[in-house]
Amino acid sequence: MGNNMDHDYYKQNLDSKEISDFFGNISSGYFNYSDLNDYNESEMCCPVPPCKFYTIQAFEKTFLPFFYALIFVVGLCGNGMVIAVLLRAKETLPGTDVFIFNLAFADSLLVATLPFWAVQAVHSWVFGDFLCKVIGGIFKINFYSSIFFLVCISFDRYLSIVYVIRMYNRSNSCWILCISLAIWVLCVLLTVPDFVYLKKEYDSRQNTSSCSLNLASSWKNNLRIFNQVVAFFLPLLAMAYCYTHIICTLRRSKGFQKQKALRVILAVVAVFFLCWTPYHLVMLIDTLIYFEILERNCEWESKVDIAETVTTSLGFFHCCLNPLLYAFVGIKFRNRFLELLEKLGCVNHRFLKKHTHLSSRRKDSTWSESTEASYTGL
Amino acid sequence: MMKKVFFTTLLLLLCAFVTIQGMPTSKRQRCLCRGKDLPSVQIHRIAEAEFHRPSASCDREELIVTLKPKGRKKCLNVNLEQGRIIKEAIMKKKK
Repeated sequence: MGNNMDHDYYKQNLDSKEISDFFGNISSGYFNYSDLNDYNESEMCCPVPPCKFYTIQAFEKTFLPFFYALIFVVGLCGNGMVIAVLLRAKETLPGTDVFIFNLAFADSLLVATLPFWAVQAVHSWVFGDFLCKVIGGIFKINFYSSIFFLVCISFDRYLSIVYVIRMYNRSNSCWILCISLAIWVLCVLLTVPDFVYLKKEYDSRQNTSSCSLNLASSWKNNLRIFNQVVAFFLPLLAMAYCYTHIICTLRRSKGFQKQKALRVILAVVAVFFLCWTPYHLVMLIDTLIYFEILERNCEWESKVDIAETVTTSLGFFHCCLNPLLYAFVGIKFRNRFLELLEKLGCVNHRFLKKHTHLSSRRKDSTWSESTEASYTGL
Repeated sequence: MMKKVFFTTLLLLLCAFVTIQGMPTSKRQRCLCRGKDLPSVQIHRIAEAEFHRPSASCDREELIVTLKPKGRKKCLNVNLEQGRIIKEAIMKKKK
C-alpha cells in the first residue's frame, strides 16, 4: 500500500490553475465533462466537510508538557528513592521487595521517556528514526513489565499470606530472580515488533511528524476489544482474585495491624482501578466509534481524543503512586529510607530515633516473625 | 500445584500483552473525511486540491478539494474518475 513510494511524497497540493491546465490537456473523448458538471453541490446528499485536528493538537500542546513534566519529576523521585533504598539493603531481599525493585525500575524508565512524548506533542518527533525505535521500545517494555510486576507482587503476597509459603528462603529467592529475569526477557521479546515497525512518519493530515507504528491498521483494530479485555481486565482480575483471598485470610486471623493491611490492599486495588478504568472506558467508546455503532462525527471524535489524552496521562500517573502504595506504606521500608536520609545528612539522628522507635515497639507485640514478614510488604 | 497456577497466570498474561496497544506510539484512526465523499465537482470551482496518502492516522487515501468562492473544503472520492485523475495529476507533479 504505497510502502515502496518515496517518503517525502505524503502531501501534495494542486492549485486551480494547475488543475484547469491539467484537465485542459485531456481530450474530451476521454473525459466527459458534461456528466461531471451536472453534479451540483446542493444536489449531493449531505457532503460532510473534512474534520480538523486543531482542537486536539492545541489541547495536547498545552496539557501534555505540563502533565508529563509533573509525572516525570514525581515518578522519577519516588521510584528513584525506592531503588536507592532497596539497593542499600545488606541482606538478601525478600521476594516482594525484588518485585518492588523491578517495578520501581520499570516505572522510572517509563517516566523517563515522557519528556520525549511531550516534545513530540509540542513540535513533532524531532529525534530521528533511531531514537524513535529506542524510546518507543523502552516505553513499551516498561509499560508491559510495570503491569507484570504488579501482578507478581499481588501473587507473591497471595502465596505468602494465604498459603504461608515463604517466597524468600534461599531456594525461592533464586526462583524470584529467575521470574524477574524471565519477565524482562519476555517484555523485550514482546517489543521486537515495535523495534521493527516504529518509524518517524510525516502525517499530512495533521501536518506533523510523529514516532508511530507503521503497521496496516485494519487487522490491529479488529483485535481492539480483545486487547482491552486482556490488557486491563486480566491484570485487574488477577489482582482482585489474589487480594480477595488475602482479605478473607486476614479477616480470620488475629493481627495487630490487620486494619491497616486491609486498608492498604483496598488502596492498591482501588488506585489501579481508578487510574486505568477511565482510559479503558474511553477506548471502549473509541472502539464503538470505529465499528460505527456510535456515529462518526468530527466534534464528538475530537472530544473523545481529548478524553483519551487526559485518561492516558492518568494511567501513566499510576507510576508515581506505585512507590507510595508498595514501598512507603511498609514500616521496614520507611525505616530503611530514614536511615538512608541520615547517612546522606538530610535528617539528624534524633529525628531518626524518634521515628523508628514506633516499629521496634511493634516487633514486641503478639506478632510472630513469619506473620510480620508477610505483612511488611503490605 | 502452586507453581502450576503461577505459570498459568503468567501464560495468560503473556497472551494479554502480545496484543496490547502502547499509547503514544499507536495513533488513533482519524481520517479527515466522514460520510459520503463527493463523486465529482465542477472543475472550475476547485481552488486547491490536496492528496493524503494512507498513514498511521488513516488507512485510506483521501483527496480534499477547496472550492471557490467560499473556500469550503470537501472530500472527493479518489476511486471515481475525476478524483483519480486529480490524484494522478498530483502524483505527476511530484515527478
